[in-house]
Order: sequence, then structure tokens, then C-alpha cells
Amino acid sequence: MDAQRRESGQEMAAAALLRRCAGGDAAAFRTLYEEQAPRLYGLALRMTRQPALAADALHDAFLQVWQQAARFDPARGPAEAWLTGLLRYRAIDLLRRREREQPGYEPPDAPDDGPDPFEQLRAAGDSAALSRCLATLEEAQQRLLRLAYVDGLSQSQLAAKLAAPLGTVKSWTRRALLALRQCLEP
Amino acid sequence: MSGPSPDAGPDTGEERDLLAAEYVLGTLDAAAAASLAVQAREDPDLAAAIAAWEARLSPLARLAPPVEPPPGVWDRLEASAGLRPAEVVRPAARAPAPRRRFWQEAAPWRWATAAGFAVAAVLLVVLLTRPPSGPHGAAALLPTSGTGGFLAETGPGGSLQLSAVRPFAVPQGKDLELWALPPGATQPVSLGVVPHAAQRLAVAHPTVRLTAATQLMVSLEPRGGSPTGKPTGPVLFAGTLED
Repeated sequence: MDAQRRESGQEMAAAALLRRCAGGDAAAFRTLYEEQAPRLYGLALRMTRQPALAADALHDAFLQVWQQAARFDPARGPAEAWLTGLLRYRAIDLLRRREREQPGYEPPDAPDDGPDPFEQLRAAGDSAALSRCLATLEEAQQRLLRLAYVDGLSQSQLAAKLAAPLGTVKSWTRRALLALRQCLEP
Repeated sequence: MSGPSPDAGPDTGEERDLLAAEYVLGTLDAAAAASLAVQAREDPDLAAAIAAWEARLSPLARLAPPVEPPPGVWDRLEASAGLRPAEVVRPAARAPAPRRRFWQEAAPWRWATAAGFAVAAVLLVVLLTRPPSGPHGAAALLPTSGTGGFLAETGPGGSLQLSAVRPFAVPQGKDLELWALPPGATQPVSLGVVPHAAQRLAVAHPTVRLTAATQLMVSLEPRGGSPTGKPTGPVLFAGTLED
């Protein structure tokens, strides 16, 4: 349970630090960066597979944090999820731009996830519900969500990777998301 | 104003929630995603739906192990967020600061050129030797690559004067346009197109307050200026207003 307590402590800290950032507190911004940057850079690196692109995504996302901290509304969701969102949107923008500029660019394959790719989720306190619900999905749907969220694949890259037509991928995605929502909020 | 997305059609709650989910997952195409992000600013229900999906899916981020970012990222951030104590003028050291704010397409800064340093030195002298001018500010706009430079000075009533340090060869069919980005703003505001012949621009009544730390930049635009109201071409010169 220690891990869980540490997580919720960090979450509270992130929310408080964001509030201070909104007030222009540079020391709070620095602390927030130190606490959150490794997690977010790791994600950016996994999504982009390029240290330079990942560094750009991290920089841009934190610049947004500093400029728009006041937009964070704790009533809507956790601070860490908001931060993750900023980083991912930025990384996705950079990825789609690279796709446009280098059509046919094939990102190197993601590291092999092993037989149980969601193992890490079960260990973590706040993600037990999500991992339980993911387990109710078909394997192809689980893979699709992982490739999109963690590897940053676009719809057309997903279609290529899963060897399925674009429309099919889109409806799989939507069904997976609906099933997930239903399971998380019955 | 609905975006270019064909997906944004049926405005049912369910459809919108699914769009929010796809947006968070990252599978919307770029145009649909941008359009949804804009809509969410005006629509608290949509913003709440997006936040709820961010919360639902964010545990997936744990699948990527943490990695210590390179120290350069924080240095860049300190500069671009304006956290460094204001130093009066150290153009060569300060200039790369505003990198990657929104002109990511601009060519990388190339400081190694002797010409770049020469212009920086000229601007430094100009800035240091100008007469004390009360509350007015100045900025050296240094080249993002290549040579040349502009000097910007604010005057009474918030006016601004921009002049080229040496004539800049504007490509055929193009114009230079001056932009201001006040601290905290996310979108630059045009201050006008720089006349070809004179390469000077006087802005009597800028549409934004040109406070210290405002970033100024000159971009290359189609003849007559940006058709979109935002910089569309590369930023060729950039600098920060200092008091």
C-alpha cells in the first residue's frame, strides 16, 4: 500500500504545485518539473522514439504548463492526468507533423511488451480498475489502445500495423472505448 | 465555427463523448483534433468529457518507464518561460531563448557564423550607447540563421520603431512582417509589414502593449503579409524587448 500512498501524495503535490504555478511561482514550477519530467519524458520517448523530438515535446508541454496552469481545473480530473494530456497532445502534434513531412516514415518497432503488457498497471494502485477493464476487451482491442495511447500511432499507422481497413480500425477503436467506459462506470 | 472535421456532425452527447475519447487517445486526424480542442475552450461540457477521458486512460502512461530528461530541456524552458533574471543585453547568449515557441519550423539557430556575432556586436553597441530614454524599451532582433538584424525601440505612447541594421535582401514575391508576443500570450499579433525599400517600420499605435519581455520577431510572408493573421513563413529575426 506504500506505493499507493506515495502515488496519491504525488498527485496532491502536483495539483498544489499547479495552483502555485498559476500564481507565477517559479520555484513551484521547478519542483513540478523535477517530479514529473522523468515520467513524462519517458512517455514522450516511447511515443516518438527520438530523443530530440521527445525533448521538444517535453519542453513545449511544460511551457504550456507555465503559461496555462490556471486552466487546470481540479474538479474535472487529476493533475497528473492533465499533465499527461498536455505532453501527449504535443507529442502527437510533432509525430503527425513528421508523418506529413516524411510520408512513409516508419517508426522503429516498440519494445516487445512481453506476454503480459499490462502487468505494470496491475501493480499500481490507481490503475487497477483500468487494467481489470482492459482485460475484458478482446486482445486486438487491447493492443490497439496500447499502440494508440503509448506508441502514438495514428489511425492510418494502426490500420497498417493491424492489417485492417481504416474504417474497421475506427469502429474497433470506438467499440473498445465504449466498452472501457461502461466497465469503468457501470 | 465548426471545424473542417466531417466527424463533428451529429451533436449528440454520445457522439461528442466518443470524439472526446478519440481525441484523448490520439486517433483523430490533425484537423479534427485541432477543431475539437478549439471547441473545448468554449464548451465546458466538452472540456469535462475530455478531462474525464484523460483521467480514465492516463494510467496507460505507466507502460512507458520514466527516463531522466537531458538537462538542456530545463535550460531551454527557463529561457523560453522567461524565468531567467533579466540581463540587459547579451545577445549571443540570450538570443536562442525564444526558440521553439511557435515557429518550430524555423531553421535552427546557427550562431557559429562570424557574421552573426558581428551583427550581435553592432546591436550590442547600439543598445548600450543609446541615450537613456525613460521608460522605453529596445530589442535586438537577431537572425535565426544567416546575417542581418533589426533594432526595435519603443517610444512615447507605446509606439515602436523598427529599423534594419543593414539592408536585407527580401526574396521576390515576399515581404517581411513584424510580430509581437507579449509575455504569457500564446498567439503573436502582427505589427505590420516592413516596407521593402526603407526597411524601417514605425508603428504609432500597436494593437498590443509592448511591455518588457515581449518577444518580437520578423517572419517571411507572402507579398502583402500573412494571409492568415498568424506567421506562416519562417521566423528570420527574433529578440526580446528589454527595459
